[in-house]
Amino acid sequence: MIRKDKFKRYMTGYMFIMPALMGVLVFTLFPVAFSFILSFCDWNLFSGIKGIKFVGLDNFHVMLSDGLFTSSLFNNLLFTIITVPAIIIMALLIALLLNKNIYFRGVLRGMFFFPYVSNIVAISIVWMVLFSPEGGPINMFLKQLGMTNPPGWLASIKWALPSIGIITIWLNVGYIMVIYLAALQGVPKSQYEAAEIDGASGMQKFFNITLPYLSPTTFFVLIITLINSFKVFGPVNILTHGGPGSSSYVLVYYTYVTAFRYYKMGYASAMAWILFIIIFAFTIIQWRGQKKWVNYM
Amino acid sequence: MVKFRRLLSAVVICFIMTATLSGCGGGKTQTTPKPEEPKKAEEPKKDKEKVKITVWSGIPGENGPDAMAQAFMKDNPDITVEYIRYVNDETGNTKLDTSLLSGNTVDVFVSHGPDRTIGRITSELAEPLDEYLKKDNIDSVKDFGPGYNTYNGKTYALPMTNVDDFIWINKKMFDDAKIPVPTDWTWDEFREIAKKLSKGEGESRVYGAMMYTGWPDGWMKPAFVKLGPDIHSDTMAINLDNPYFKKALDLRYNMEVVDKSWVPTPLAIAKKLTLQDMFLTQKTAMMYGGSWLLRYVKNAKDYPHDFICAFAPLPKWEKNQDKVYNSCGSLDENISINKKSANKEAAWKYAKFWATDGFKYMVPGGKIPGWKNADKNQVSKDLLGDNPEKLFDVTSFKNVVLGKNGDYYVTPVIAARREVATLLDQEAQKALAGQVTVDKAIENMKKNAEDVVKRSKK
Repeated sequence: MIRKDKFKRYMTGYMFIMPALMGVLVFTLFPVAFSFILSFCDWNLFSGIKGIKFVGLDNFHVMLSDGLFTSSLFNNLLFTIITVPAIIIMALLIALLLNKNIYFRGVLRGMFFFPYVSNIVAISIVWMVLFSPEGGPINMFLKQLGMTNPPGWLASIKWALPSIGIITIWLNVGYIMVIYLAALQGVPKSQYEAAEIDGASGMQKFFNITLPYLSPTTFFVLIITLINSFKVFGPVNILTHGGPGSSSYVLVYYTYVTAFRYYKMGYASAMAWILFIIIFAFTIIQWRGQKKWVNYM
Repeated sequence: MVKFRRLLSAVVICFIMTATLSGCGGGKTQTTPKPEEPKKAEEPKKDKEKVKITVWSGIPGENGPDAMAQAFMKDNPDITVEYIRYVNDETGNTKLDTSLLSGNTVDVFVSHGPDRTIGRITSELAEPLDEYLKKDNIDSVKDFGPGYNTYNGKTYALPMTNVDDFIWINKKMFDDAKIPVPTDWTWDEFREIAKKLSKGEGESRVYGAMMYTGWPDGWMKPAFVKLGPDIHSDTMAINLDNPYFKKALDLRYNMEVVDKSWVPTPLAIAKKLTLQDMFLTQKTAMMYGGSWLLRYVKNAKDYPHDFICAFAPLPKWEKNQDKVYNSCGSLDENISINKKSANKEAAWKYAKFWATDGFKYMVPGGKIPGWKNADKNQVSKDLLGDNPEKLFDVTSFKNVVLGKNGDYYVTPVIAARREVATLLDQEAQKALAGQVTVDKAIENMKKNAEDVVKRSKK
């Protein structure tokens, strides 16, 4: 029998978490469970609850032969390969630079971080103007440099996805930079001094001191940039609508279109769960791999 | 001790869950619409009790709907009308669809274009109108025209607006190039004229032609002029075996890529160019669009321009082509009543009003009534507005806009049409970008269309 005061403590605890718990239950757990069930069903949103038909693994079979799905998956992988290394490397370099005592360091840090907190729609519209194939600043600059046929960016099949990639990289570098800046503060100066005494060069110091100390952070950064790169949606929906053709179709956009343009909720749920499995698989791989290269000091 | 604590937490969480779920049973209407209508239509109301109906359409209030609502409320003091405009694009239509699902805020709605209308009809969002039509002695086909408003034997919408496609012409550019306004031409002649009128480079380029970018089936439209009901076959949503589809894609390829006289769709999407912006700033000599564009042309405040608009019918494929169809299909705006509406009688009254007598308020904004009993002279006067010579070439206006523009054909109601059209458009884009040849693109389209229709038949 638990004593009365302990019981009271428990109940108080539960009362405190109840509002948040209810929120999580209703808005997170229930939809997740419902979508899991839906992924095995066929459901046109307009036919009401009675329209939910159980179809087993049909949705997944269809996905395998759905050209647009495989295109989206391929585009996502391409997108991840383009953006993840670029974000991490650029963020690290900028963080290293902004760690030194240069002029206007605070302002520069703010400027780099600013895109991350800006509204994605506003950002997309601005980049749309920048990427404008004829009169846009980027292409005019390239033409000045002598390029006769600058890329069509958002209007070109080859360049639509890389353009979205560029926007995403610009967006996320600031956030990752801040994380690295924080981590850099944790590298003990004494190590650098010791290395200098032994005659280490700048590069040697970087690869043998800085990087290992940053490896836990890099591990974290790798996971979140990878996960976020699979979730890209905003710029695609605003700027390219998956086009031209299907060159910038990504999984989340295809899921959105399937759910809210064609109202095939079952199929869309199945796609969402496949995305979850893919992201989960990548995360597991990284988690297992951390023993190899992450040094926890 | 620990085990007991764990058991207690589990029990408490279960309790919280059940309390939450029962408490928000009603709150789930957002994602899971109630299967049956919980409200009975209406209990007999006292005569003087005010009924409020909400009317949705894609037309801005100041282009007619507000004036119409005012007139209606004057004649029907027991009904209040609230007009809500939704923008006729992806997000706007999704907004209307979700409002229709949740039931309470839509009574009357207007759907624009076959995709949206068919989508809503096959999803059973609209109330069957057969009873009302019988009571008021209206025949949807005889009094209005053929359409895609029936499904499983019931009528779900009234087709009320003539939104024919035709070619709008910048008369000044034609006069400068000494080209007469065509009255009977072929797509080859269209291509020649467009090539002649395109000039310039880059940002300041003037194109020969542009089409409404919001049509996923846009590239196919020239083929529709020849095919009419043959667009669709029993086995395929779009009868891609027919050689005119390839001809249409070839035409588009030649104009967009070879001649560079047609505004490329990816460019228009990437720069968010609209038909009216390009035409009224003289960046394109011709535009392929419907009568809804009239409201932009007449809007001298936002779109001042110093050329007059002439009109030409849609080009044919052969000089002696026997049957000519209008690529818009049929009457393109449909008015329906929400199945979940609580005031269906009042809603029907308003829907009938809009489609018949009330339509005259829409005419100055550029809509042509499909109602056979509309006053044609009044329509013509209201459409042209004051000072028509300043804006229009009145002869060609009367011939094209007010005349017959080819036969109508009925678009079959296939639920997967939207998906098919989008997939076909993607292949067309690839062909236009040079990624695949036109022949391969048509082949891929056939395969994709078959896949989609097969999938949705289950």
